[in-house]
Amino acid sequence: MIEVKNLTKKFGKTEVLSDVSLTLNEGGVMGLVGVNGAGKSTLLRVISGVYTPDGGCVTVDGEPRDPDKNGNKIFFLPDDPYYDYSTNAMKLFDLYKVFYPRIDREAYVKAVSDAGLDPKKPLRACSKGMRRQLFALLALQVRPKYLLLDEAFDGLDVRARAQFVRGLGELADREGTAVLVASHSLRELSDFCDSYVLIDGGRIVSEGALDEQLEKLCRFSLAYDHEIGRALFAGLPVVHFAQEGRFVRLLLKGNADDMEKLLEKTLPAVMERREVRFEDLFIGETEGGGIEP
Amino acid sequence: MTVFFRYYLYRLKKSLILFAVLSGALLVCELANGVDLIDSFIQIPVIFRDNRILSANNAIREILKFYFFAAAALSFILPVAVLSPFKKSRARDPFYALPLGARKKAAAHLLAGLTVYTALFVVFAPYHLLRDAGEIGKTGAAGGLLFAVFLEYLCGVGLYFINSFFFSFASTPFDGAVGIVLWHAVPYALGGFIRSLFFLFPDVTDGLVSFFGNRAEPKQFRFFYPLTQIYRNSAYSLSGIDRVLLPAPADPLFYGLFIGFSLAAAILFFILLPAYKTENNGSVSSSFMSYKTLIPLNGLLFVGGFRYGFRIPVTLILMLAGYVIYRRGFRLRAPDILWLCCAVALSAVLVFVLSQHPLKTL
Repeated sequence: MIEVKNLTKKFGKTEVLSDVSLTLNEGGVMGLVGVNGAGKSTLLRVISGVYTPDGGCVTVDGEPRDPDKNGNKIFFLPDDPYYDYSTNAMKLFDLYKVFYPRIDREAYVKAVSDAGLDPKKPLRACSKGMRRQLFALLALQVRPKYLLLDEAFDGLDVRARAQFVRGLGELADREGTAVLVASHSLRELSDFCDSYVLIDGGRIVSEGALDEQLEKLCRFSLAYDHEIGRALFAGLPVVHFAQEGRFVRLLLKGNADDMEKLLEKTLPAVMERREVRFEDLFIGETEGGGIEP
Repeated sequence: MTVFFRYYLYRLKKSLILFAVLSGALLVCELANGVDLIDSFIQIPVIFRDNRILSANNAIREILKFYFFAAAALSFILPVAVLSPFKKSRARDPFYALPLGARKKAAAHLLAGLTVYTALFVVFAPYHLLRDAGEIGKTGAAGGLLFAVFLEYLCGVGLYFINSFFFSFASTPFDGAVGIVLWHAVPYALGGFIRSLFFLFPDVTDGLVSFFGNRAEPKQFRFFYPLTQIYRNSAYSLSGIDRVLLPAPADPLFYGLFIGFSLAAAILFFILLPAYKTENNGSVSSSFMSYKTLIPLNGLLFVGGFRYGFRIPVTLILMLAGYVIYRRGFRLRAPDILWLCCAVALSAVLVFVLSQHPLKTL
């Protein structure tokens, strides 16, 4: 279990992370979401040891995070992994084998070859997508106890994304690997994350089990045959409101059946209940002033 | 096998290309007499006898000069090369996320660099032996030569740690390399500055003059001083010249300072390393141990060391250039302009004082 307690990180006088606490349990897959500049990458860098925190601490399996003692339980795949001019897949393997002895040469070469990549081709000669795919494969082959991924789906094509998500699932099932993944791709996250942390302005504004949080919201599309305004919904727990002429989209907090009954009183010509997505939760938290847990 | 040792072996393997490039470069310098070209640049003393450049036992002198050059050049190039990954902004995430503590990581890098340095000393031995064995044999100075080369090697090791320490304060590899050069300029400028004080205020500095004597020479205030002294004295003694004819013997004070600096640099490097903020990689090197202090310090010391009058305008121009490099543009900040103004004001004061001075140096 990785525990982050009251973490603070400053860049100069700017506090980028303020009193952040979270727990990543073994086998869990946690999505880390937030707007650009919210502090997601900074949080991953602090947990992985790239940055030193200004306050708070990170513990790994109950011990303070120490690169020499428990560092190789964690593998961090950054947003834009760097590679030397002459680096190829095998040279990457040589480097990571030093720190992660569990990585198996044969399995790695097979995975690379199966993905249609040449193990000896310099990375500089590969496309961005191929490089991302290679690093994703590396992350899976390292088989760490904790995997930190920053924008891991960027640059991957549909097939590679699906393979990567499947690989993450298998890793969690087989090895009990816990994954903390920061991404803007909320749809992908909602497919395989069981919990999430929403970070905004360096603070955690919402967290928990994804399904439970989504159940607390309901979404409706409504159409009216007369002119309406936002005032019509003043008494309702509106999280997000969007209007185009006589059409209204509403994200509400509360039980869907109860909300439907309340909305019927506004006399809509058409009312349709929609599925609540992770995006809705995200918008509600970042625009709507927050959703109570 | 520990992770540290495995990582050291990995770094060593990665350094093979560096070794090949550097050995090639040293060989080219040797074959093209490039080593001689740097005589004046790093002020390798010319060995004279009877008012002629020493030609007897030239092989010994050439070998000593080659290893002098190797120690001086490699002690600058290798720290920059092996410590660059610590300062690259793009490499920061994967590099610092590798599960090995910063100190152990740095130790592995430095050890790999030292191994390359040692290997470069060793690899040229057969070449020199084959080339000059006859001549060295005639003098019977083989043992002395070996010892002198070993001392040069040790000086290079000391410089390697001193330069690594200076490099560590920068935020980019380029700034680190510039920082090393600027740090080496400080004691040199200090020597000139002290010399100038003696000249300007002979009455006040009388006691100091007698203490420093001929120590107050910019050449002696260099980190390279022990290296040049070992070269000069070894070349003299191994060439069979009467010690009485030698210039002032090497000053133990500067050897002591050098050893102290080397040890302190190595220790402080590892002590301060974890305090480095990796988020600064790639940004302006704003450490107090970098441009912020080095530009005004060098500027004022060089201006103050007015013995070579032409240095004043050159120093002011270099200060300005330094600030442009530091700020990565012409948008200088108030402290930069203030220090430039101070240097200009000091220049004006010195010109005035000297115009009143009976010897009128400028």
